Amino acid sequence: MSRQETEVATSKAGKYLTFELGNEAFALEITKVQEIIGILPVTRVPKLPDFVRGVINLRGKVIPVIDLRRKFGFGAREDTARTCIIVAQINRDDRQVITGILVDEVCEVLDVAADQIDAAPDFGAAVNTDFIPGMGRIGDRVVMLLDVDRVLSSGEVDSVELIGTPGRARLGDSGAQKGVAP
Amino acid sequence: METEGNHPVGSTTIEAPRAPKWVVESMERIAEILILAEPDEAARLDRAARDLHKIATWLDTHDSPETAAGACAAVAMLDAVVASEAAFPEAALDVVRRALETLQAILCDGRDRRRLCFPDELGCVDAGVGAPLNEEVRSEVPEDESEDLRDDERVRRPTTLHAEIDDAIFADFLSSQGEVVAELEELVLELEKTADGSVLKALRGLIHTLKGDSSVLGLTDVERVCHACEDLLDREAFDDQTGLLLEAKDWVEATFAYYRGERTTLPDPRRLLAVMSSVGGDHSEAGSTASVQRSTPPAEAPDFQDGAAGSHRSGRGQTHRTIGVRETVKIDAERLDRLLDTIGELVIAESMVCQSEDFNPSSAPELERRRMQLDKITRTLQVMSTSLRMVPVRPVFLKMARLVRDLAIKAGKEVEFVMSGENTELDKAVVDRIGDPLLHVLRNAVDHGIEEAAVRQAAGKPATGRIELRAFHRGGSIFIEVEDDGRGLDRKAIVEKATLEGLFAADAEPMVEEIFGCVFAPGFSTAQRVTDVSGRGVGLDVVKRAVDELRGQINLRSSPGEGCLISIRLPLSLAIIDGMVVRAGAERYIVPTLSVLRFVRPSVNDLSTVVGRGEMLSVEGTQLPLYRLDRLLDIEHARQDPCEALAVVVEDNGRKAAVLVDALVGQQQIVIKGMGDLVHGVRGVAGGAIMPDGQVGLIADVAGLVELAHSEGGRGEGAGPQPAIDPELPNGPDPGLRGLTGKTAEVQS
Repeated sequence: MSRQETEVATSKAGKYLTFELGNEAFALEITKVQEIIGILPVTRVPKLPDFVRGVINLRGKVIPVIDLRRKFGFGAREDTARTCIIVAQINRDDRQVITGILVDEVCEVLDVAADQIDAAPDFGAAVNTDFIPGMGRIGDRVVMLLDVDRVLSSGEVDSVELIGTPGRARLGDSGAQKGVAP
Repeated sequence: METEGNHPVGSTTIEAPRAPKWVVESMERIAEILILAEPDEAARLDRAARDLHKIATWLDTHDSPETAAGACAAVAMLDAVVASEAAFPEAALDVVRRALETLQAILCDGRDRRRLCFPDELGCVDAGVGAPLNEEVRSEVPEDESEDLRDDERVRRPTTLHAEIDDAIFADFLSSQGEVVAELEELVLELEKTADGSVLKALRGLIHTLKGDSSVLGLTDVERVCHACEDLLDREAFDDQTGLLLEAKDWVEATFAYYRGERTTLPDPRRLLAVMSSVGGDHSEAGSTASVQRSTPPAEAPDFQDGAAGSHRSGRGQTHRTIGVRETVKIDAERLDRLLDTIGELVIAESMVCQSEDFNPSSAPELERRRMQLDKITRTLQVMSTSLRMVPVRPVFLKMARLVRDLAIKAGKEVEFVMSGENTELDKAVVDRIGDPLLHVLRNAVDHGIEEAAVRQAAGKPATGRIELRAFHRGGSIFIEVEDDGRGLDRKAIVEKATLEGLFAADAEPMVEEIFGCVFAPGFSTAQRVTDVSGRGVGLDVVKRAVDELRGQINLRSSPGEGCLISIRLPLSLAIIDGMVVRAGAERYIVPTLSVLRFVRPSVNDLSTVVGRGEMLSVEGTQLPLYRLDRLLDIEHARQDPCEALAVVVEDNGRKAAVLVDALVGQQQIVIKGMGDLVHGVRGVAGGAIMPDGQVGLIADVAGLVELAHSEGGRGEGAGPQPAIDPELPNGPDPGLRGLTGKTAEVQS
């Protein structure tokens, strides 16, 4: 393991919340997680990419819900009793945004030590692993450590916003909607 | 403060001037005067004092507060000498000379300012110089107070303040004076326009109250200035009367700002007082203040005060109590917001309970009665809460009136400024932030929009330009408009420039809206590019950005030669609004009631298509474009036959349109919730709201919907099948909604 990789591993060590999508196991830093709620009725918001399921009412706050299955291309599936929304605090442009992340099933909270973390393998251009900084080996399982900030990085979110803009954006409108505090 | 022993003498050699040339030069001139002048050469010393005052003002904005304060103190002392109030003029003059040397050392030689100090005596003019000005002078020497001012103190306490006035009372007084000063300005500007006696009377009353209040508190300088203003008003009208009054108002404002800790130096009233009384001398009774000698005016000012203060003090005390005190409670903004949020939650919770299926009014009439009572209370609370944050836009408008006046004078143009709707209420946050964009727009209008008088006359327009500033409610928004009758925008030049910039393709034929849109494009409208060509557009991208931040919209209309209208549309930004809940397919949307003109069940006869594409609906003889909500927002399984559906007639920006939805579900109060960055900026959706069932409902943004429809044009029609109008149902069941305006509708689902 190179020195850089060791650093990644050390910085990534800690407590993780693991969850499942399809048959794959993912993990999210526990410090990012605010709470876990069961599936609620989600209100669709038009003109958004399909991985944005919509918005929910979290005790009076309206928060968006990201369907991670769709985001990662697992294909649609009916919600089950085990379907959960992980409410996470995502850093975006130095601000904290509360976002719901829809996953198939939440598993457990795990301690992942530095020596259990490998760098994410490079699949080339075919698979975007930007938001997977490392893989954790827990017993005989492998969980993908998710950098949730990157999953919904600015680039992604901007594209979300732009989808709401009709075909020919008005001149002078460019950039106007972006980065404006709600 | 250390003694003057530290500062070097004779260090006037200028090596690397750090101050602008005029400061250096004028400092040399002052030094020359000071060295040569005798204390009784009032005229020369006065000139030096004025120059020094200018430098002090410059220092205030460009250098450290200490330096500025030192300069101010020197001006004050010099003034005392000029006014022959100093007991030992020679000594005082010497102190000023030494202070000037220090200033020169700091500014011209760039010496380490930490090691340089102003003469000690400067800080306590009364001790070194003498008697009559005791109180005032001390209050005018900022150094004194800035030293005393502890960091944790919010309010600077003038030394003349009466001992029985505690800091809290003084702070309250200061915070209430913002309005008084604004009103003062408004009245003065009004006075300039009309010779109406009532304005004069109101102005007198206001100044008198301010004078009384200041006297009660012991703000002798403010009192003196007010007194001089009253004198000014007593005289016959003359040219620069309003100008002087405005100057006086500025001075008072700056003084209060200093006490509030927002300024570093206390403005000096002497020059102002001198000018005010000398102006009067030219015109009216020669006896009173006729002396042209510079030395008299400041000298007599304390006389006014001494004579007046004693006799008026008790009487004005009463004035203070009857007029000045308002029943207000200052509340921390954060607490207020929390209260509003909680009331919002209460409204939601109340409607959740009342609309719950378990609640059956017919089986429990007593409960129903209580519910209605609760409903009433909630509504009252809600109405109150919405009004808490609302303030009239008036103060901003008044500032603009002053700005336009000053700009017009500076540009040498005649401009008539008309404003209306200044009592329109807006959220305080919006009022606080709308000033800057408005300022840009108005500056543009005066500088570039309105032509020179000669040009105007040549074009057949009245020589006096006209700028109108309006505020009004329409369709659920608040509009602030600036209209001028100037030269308007040069479309050709804009198109040329935009094509050059690559905003348009070379062969494009942009629409009018697109052309004007360019002006708001970032980086497009910098001064060098557009101003010279079209004469318009400085900083309009800044305006656009500011308006965007307020979730508003900005529009521009202009015809060459006929002027320009800039319309800023702002959301009410109220936490709670009235909404109509409509359904399309399985989804529901909330349409703000204020945007809804009426509901119409279309009949076949009212429907028509234009060029086989755009659908039109005839409502009371007017043809309106008919848009389908399901197609605009990609909703599935909505009714396709317009005759089975419902058309909501909405208005945006004067444009009316009909939006087809499946049905009206009900009417309810909604609390607008931001939806976070992720889904911010979706066209056609203004925000979210918690519905009575606990789910999120989306608020339709009518303006956005209409825009969306426009921009999609025929595309939407191409995508969906042509509506199959069922001939079997020519008139559909009329739900009785026709002609029902949204505002009064009590619609059941």
